[in-house]
Amino acid sequence: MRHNMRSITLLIIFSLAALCGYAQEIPEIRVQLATENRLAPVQLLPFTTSDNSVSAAYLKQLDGILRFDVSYSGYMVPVSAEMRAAYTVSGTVKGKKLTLTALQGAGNRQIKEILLSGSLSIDRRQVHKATDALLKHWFNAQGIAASKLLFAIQSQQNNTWVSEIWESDWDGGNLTQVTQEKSYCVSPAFIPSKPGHESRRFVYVSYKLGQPKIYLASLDEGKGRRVVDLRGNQLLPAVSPQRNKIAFICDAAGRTDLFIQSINPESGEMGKPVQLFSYPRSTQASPTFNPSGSQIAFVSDKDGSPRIYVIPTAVTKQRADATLITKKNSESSCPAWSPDGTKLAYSAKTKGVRQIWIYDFNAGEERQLTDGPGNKENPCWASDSLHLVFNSTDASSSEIFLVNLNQPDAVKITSGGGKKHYPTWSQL
Amino acid sequence: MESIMKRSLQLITLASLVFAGCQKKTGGAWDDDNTTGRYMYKNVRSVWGTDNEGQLAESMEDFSGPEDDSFIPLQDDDLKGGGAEIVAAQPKFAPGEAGSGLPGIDHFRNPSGELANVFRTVYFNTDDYVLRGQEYQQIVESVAQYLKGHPDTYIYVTGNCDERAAEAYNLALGSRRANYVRSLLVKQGVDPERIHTVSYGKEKPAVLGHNPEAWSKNRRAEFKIYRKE
Repeated sequence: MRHNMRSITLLIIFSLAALCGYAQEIPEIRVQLATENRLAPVQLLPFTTSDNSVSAAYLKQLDGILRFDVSYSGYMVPVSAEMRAAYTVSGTVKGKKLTLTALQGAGNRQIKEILLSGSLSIDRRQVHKATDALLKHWFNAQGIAASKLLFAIQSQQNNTWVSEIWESDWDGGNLTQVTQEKSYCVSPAFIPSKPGHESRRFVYVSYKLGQPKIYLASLDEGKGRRVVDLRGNQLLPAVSPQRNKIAFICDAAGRTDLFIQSINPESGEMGKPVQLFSYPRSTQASPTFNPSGSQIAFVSDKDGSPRIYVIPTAVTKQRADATLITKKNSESSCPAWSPDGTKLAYSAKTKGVRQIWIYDFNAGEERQLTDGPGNKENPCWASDSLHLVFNSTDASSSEIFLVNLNQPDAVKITSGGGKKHYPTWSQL
Repeated sequence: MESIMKRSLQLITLASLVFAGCQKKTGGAWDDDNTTGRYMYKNVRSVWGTDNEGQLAESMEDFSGPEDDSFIPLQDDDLKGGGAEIVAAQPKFAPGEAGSGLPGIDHFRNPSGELANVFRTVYFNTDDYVLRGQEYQQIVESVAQYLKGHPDTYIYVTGNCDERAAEAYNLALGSRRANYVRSLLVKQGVDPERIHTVSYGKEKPAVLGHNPEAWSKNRRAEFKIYRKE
């Protein structure tokens, strides 16, 4: 029964792909998890208008945005009108006001009223928020459709490679350039927001001084100011969920070490950097904090090939040792600790191709999440600990993909020129 | 009591390192594990005044590692016996940074003409940061000789990787490679303040291609040169 349901789901998702304006289905990237299928079938009735205050073409665009959000929510999946569904969503427009209604059985409830601005950029954000309201109403779940992504896009300008930080909605829409440095910017990391607020600030690495250094910028003003005043190369920053610590890789001492530093994003006040972990003849990389900020997972090749270790963040006189946690794969990189603390996503070379793997802290087990061609790296969790973004790179391109643990397919959310990589997800 | 124990441990370590340094290396690898200690960082800014020749640790005081107050360093006990490895702290300021006395990296030129025969690109094995082979030893020695004879010359060592490892890890590995080359130059007596490093990971391949030949040409460290007028 579960397999039948899964097949139906797949058919529906593939048929939906053509409707999605921004995201593009690529069936070759598949999730291997034998997850319990918890997707609720939902009928999405086409948006209608009683007074033609909005064009049919515009309504179809909004309809497509909602379909994407529902299709990859991890809780629901749209089904055709012929199939029975416990849940139905309708949308009607009158006087430029889009009213979304959720119907379940005999009951119905108005979920959201959107006064359409006519700007797709603004209205699509409202549709994302409506999807999150649907999830809250039916499943009491915190949706992440209204969250934002940041990633780096590399392009060639005047025979020089430049890279800037861009933001987008979770479906790849509203793609906007944030930094304007005409330099090389990579590895952005959102600074988590205060509860109830949206992440607006981020740290990233820029080569504008020649050496890579860490800067802080906001989405409103993409102008970075340096936050780590340390000699040498600083790379791969990560910010603790408590917003009070930043971890990064730095060669100030002549080795490629793990550093940690206290930070106050509001005042800009920084503590003294601390060399947290170093090891002779080894390379450290890619720190990620656990939810309490008490531990960091990072990559080290201290025992041979790159693997993932965990170390406490407490700075004591006698420093703690690093503990190997991922043992199944011999070449692992770019760990990302889930916000609920139960999982670690990472990339591991699997039969010659880098795939996304999930380490389950409770079970102490590792399992392969993705399959298919394309080296998949830099996974980053959404705040629901269900969705991930990552970049997949082949010989000709590098694009951003979205996946969740309940659905078998990753979906490509970027297209066009430029190498897109290092995605990071705002935490709601 | 603790200081006595620490001092004893350091003496034992130093003695063992001196002994190790006298051992004849039999392998083909030319790495830095036969040195007698780490480089000390004297906190002398040669950019502003007297060039400071690097020097090997000769006393227990010298063996205390890089002197640096810009961060809280790990103690020797935490460095897992890292005394066998040369570690030269990075210059305090990057070129172009306020206070550096040097222009930015755009003013550092790729070696050309006669300098191209001295500052030759060196290449690494897969996932390795150590230079293997006599040829590279000679290149590094030539670079060191040139720099010692031209105290007005400053360099960047750029660390690069091929496309196969993960890109985030490669950013760190590129840093490791550049620092390794830098440490070899310091070992040869070049002032650490004159050698800057930058890691490009796999972001700037020398050769576009997805085959072993392209990969071997991209696992490299290059030199960029600036001559102070």
